[in-house]
Amino acid sequence: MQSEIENTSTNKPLNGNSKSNRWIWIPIFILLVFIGDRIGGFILKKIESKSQFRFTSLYQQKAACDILIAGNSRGLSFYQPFVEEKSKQKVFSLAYNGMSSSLGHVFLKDYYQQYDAPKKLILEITCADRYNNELIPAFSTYSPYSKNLRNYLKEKENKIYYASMLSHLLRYNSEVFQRCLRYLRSDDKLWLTDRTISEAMQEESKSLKDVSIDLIPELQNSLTQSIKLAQDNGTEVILVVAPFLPNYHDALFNLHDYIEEVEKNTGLKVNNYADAIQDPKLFGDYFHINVFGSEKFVEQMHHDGLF
Amino acid sequence: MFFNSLTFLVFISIFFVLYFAVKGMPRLVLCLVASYFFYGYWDWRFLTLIVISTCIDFFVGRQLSETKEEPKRKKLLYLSIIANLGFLVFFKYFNFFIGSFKEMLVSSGVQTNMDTLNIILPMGISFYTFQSMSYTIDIYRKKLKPEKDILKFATYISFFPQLVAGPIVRASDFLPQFTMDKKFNWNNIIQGLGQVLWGFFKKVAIADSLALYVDLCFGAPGTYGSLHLTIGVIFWAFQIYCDFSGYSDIAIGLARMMGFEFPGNFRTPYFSKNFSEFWERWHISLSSWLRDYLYIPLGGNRNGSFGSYFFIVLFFGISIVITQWWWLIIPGGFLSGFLYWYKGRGPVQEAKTFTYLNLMVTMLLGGLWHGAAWTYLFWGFLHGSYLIIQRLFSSPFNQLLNAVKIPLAIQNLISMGLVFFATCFAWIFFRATSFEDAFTIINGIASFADFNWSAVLHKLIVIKCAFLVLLLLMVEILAQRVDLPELLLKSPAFRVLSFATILWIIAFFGTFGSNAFIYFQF
Repeated sequence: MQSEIENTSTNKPLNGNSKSNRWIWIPIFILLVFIGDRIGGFILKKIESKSQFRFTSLYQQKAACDILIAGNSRGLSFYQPFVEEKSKQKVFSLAYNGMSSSLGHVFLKDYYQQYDAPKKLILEITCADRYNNELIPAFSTYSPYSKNLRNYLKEKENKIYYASMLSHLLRYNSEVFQRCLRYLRSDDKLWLTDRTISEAMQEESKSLKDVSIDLIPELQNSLTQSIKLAQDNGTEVILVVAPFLPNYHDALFNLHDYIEEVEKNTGLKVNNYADAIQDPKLFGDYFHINVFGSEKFVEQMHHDGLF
Repeated sequence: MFFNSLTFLVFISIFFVLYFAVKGMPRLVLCLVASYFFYGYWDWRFLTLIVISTCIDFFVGRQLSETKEEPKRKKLLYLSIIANLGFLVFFKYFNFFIGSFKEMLVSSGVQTNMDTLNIILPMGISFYTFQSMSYTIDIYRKKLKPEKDILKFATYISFFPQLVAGPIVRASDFLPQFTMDKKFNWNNIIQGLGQVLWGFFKKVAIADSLALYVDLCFGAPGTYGSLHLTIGVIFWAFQIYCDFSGYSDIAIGLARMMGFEFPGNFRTPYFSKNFSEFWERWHISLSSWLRDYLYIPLGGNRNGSFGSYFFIVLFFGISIVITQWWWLIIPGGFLSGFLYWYKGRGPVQEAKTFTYLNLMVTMLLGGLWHGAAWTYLFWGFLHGSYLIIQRLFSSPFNQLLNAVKIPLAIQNLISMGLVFFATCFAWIFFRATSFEDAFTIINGIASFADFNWSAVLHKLIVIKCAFLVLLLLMVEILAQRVDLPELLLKSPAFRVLSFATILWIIAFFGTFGSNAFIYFQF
């Protein structure tokens, strides 16, 4: 054992690795890491710019619309092709999985800075009940395009902000960029699950009870600011609660308080569709209707004259 | 302090500058202070325990070498074992046994006021306790001379790279290395750094990415379809491998940069063709510890001892009484009958019987070492069973494969597949928080309900993780054919490019945040 250790501990000269040029490899290594990172970042940015993903469209001047949709993943319930078909107007969605109203406000500001104001803004209001801090760094992919986003990133995720300045590859290490890749060849207007909730999940939903939804003051402020921004630009704002799986809806004990609070703070009526769809087969999981559910939901909204 | 944190990056940078700036005694003091700082960073109270453990074993070691009388030596050994295991049992298992006993009493209709205690489990206690015990046992066996310098011994017990999650390094491997003057060695730095980076790739890029999916899957197993759960279990197998072997790689690499040579802890375990091979490739430092300090003293594969029967009866007894699964009496009865029938049927059969018994006891204790839960014990039981079944049926199985003239490469693939499948099955119990959850997962997979791609959630994570796992396997296959550490030394271009590639991959695929290593809890 000892002899093995001694062998490995000797500083034997290596091929092409004499003492004098050993140290040269350190700056070469650092330079290579830096250059590789920048080249990688440049290539990935080029790829991202070719995507049909909604946030790429937003920053590529391809998002002009008459009806703008915002919210978290439940905002995807307003399936764009159905809304366009019913309203006969151009629709664009800024909804994204786990998007809080605070982060959503940043994109809304960017939208209004770049485009003419849309006629209507449909806002799914359950995006003010939780933060998703993991999502904020994921959007650093778009930080080169938006000062608003950079400032927000700096304020909320300081370390990630500086790290993504140091490494450009890091900007593309996120589910957001993976979505960009996914929508390289397909239109993300069609982003809504066609999956039907599993039987196991349906069964599990029967045991749900005392589920709460809580309005977070800071997110409520962002929601109010988003509404004010839209109204100041002459956009009609429609607040909506999209459907929940019936068993989940029954277990939600304080949804009405949540809605009342939003109505009180914004002065707008909330269109509550939380229990509008009763057939579990029209859901993908507890919180999301699938594409078949969306067809029914959009029809109902149209019937109610929301667009 | 986690390896995968900025704090550690600052800590290790300062440490290395100081380490190579000083020599002799100051360097030893630096190692000890740094190790205690590293450990105390979590909670300084943990240091008390490690200091007490160190003092006891140091003085027991000295006394053992000076004492000639066997009864006195035995007493000293028992003192060390009882003290070490006492700490371990109290901090790790006290609440488990009290809680289980209380449950048993309550379910039998007996009311009790027994309360569990609010005990914090000191990180890495299982690792340094086993390390410390090996020292006194080796001195008792006269395989090792006691260390005279308490500073060296304390540094051995608390050496920060491998303190909290191994590898469990024997004193006979570690202490002699202190005597050598460790100069700055370029080769060690390169190979050590390579291993550290590879460890970070496994942990940050693979294990933590897989964790996102696995946590969801095991968090609510009843809500997912068959394919989703199957992917979750396979990902879990790779998560625990990458998490733990990643830590080992970082630990061994850091030690190597300092000039210390540690034995490897993992050797591509999922390429194993049988279960014995699996345990020669998985957590090698623990399996060899259990072999040398438990399996062989129990009699190994030669004969049995009182301990063999004692442990097996103890396990069955406790399991039956606490779980109240009275049906366990039936397999227990069968086992006893089998042992009785086998015993006295010639030396070979008798030896085999004891081999099975000793294997089972070793694996059960190995399972319990991981944590105070019945699921860990059952995981150990499954692996014990696999080893026994393999010994019973490997010959007819191989004969069958040969008879149908399946090419060797295909035979190997079938064997690897079977071992991987059985290992994944056992991993379900290791990860699940209860038997109920484990059986929900097994039933969910076996039902084949929603066994289709569209029923799989988080597809983007699945695709990313599958790519990373394939990358890992490709590099591991390559590493079996090419001596990568040697290539790192020989080719500066390969070295620079491979190090840079790992950094780019970590930047692009890594999951960042303070994700603790899984084995910290053990």
